Amino acid sequence: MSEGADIELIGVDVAYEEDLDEVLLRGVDWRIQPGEWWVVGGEPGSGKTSLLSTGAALVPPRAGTLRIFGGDYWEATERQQVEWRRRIGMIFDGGGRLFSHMNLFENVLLPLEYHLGLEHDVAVERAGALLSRVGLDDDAHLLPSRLSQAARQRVALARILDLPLRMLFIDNPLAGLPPDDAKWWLELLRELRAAPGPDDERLAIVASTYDFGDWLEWADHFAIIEGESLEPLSRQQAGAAEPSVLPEASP
Amino acid sequence: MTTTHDELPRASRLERAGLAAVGVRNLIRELAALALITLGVLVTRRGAARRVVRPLVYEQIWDAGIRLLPIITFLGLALGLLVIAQTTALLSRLGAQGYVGTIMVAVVVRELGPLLTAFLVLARAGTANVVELGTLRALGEVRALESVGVDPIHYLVMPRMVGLAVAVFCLTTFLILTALASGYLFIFLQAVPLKPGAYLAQLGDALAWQDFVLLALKTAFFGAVIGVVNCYHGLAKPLEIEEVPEATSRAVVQSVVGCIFVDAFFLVGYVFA
Repeated sequence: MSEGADIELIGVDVAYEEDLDEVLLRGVDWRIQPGEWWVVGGEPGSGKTSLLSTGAALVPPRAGTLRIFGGDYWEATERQQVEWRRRIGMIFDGGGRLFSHMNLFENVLLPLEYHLGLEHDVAVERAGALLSRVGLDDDAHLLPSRLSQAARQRVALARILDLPLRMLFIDNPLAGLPPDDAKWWLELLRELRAAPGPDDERLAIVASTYDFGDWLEWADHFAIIEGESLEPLSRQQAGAAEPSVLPEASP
Repeated sequence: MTTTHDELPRASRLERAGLAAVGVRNLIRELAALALITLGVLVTRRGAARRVVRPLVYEQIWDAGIRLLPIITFLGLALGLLVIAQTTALLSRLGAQGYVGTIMVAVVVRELGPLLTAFLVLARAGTANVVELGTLRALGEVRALESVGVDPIHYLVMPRMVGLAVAVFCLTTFLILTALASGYLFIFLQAVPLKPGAYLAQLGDALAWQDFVLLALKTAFFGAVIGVVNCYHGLAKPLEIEEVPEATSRAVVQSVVGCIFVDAFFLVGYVFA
């Protein structure tokens, strides 16, 4: 049992998000402690997104146990699950899966009003500040389809920044980004991790990547998906790992 | 060698029938589970995220209710005229004009009014809901909702179920009043010897208190059935964007069947009442 672990996967079989019968990884044992910064590498289609979704309790494991903040998530009461969900953020690959029928501003406003019950005026002010923090306040009234994937992923980050997060899963945030934009992400993640979170616990971060190279100086734990298993790597091993073949960047 | 449907061996057909029966049983079980979960969320999360959820209920009442008022008015006028036109001709021949009100209550208030309203709401708002939810699901936005801690049942299903139940009830009441009024308009224009007071008295005699209770329950059930079936087909199963039209067709057919079953159930209630 993992005293103090934020997230713990015990013998977990990770299934494909849209088909729980298709198992991608088997027997994953993984502990994520408060304040840790993990980077998970793997080939395209190896199961990184599914692993992160399973860790973030968005997809039930095909087998095994997912413990979150000390409790078994899938055996917990609905009320407890809702409470835990507010502390776990997930930013998806491919544009962050913003709500396509809402403009950027409304995308950021929704979690603020839903969870924090802020007065509308206060929530509006907070949403503006969050968009400003990710450098997109001028585009607040655009629909997500008008933005690049990279910009949309920033908005996806903005919409969870005010939640009392203790865990942040980010799927492939640096894929296809120019060095300046990649550095923006890395610096912001370091800043978020350094800030004291709820219960004075530091934010733990799990990011996925095709290439460990960008992360070596920033993250402190590395793992790679090989076949159907998740293997931990030292920093040196991660540095020596060949980058995976990158898929074509989409606009 | 190809085998046509007619040439299939007996066991194979039985097997198919059995599989179909199991499929129907599973569908009913899953729909009932979604309905119960939604009711559970309605109770346990009452008042939660009110600032976000309440406008969604109002939006549903607007889309499935108020925006349908013009077509419901037209339908109510037509229904009243048609029913009265058919019945007065027949009743006059039999010298039984005293039953006009009874027939209007039996046909319009108890049966056609609620059912036609439900079908209209299904056609206009129900299908739009399946398309909207199916698209959200296909684009992965339902998972994104969960990723920011928003419960899809609370945010997407519950407002639709409540909004549709309220909308079908209100629209049915409006349609019935319009049909009863337009029915008398026809009587007046055709110079049928029936005074307004007598017409109202006939309606009053034909109506019992159970009619009001059963009408409210039946229309709320119609709305809830449409809401649950549509949300199920939009959300419950993984969808590709190309599968949304097919899911919509399935939802329409199953909603119609569900409403008819609810109607049959309430018919038994009327009989015993």
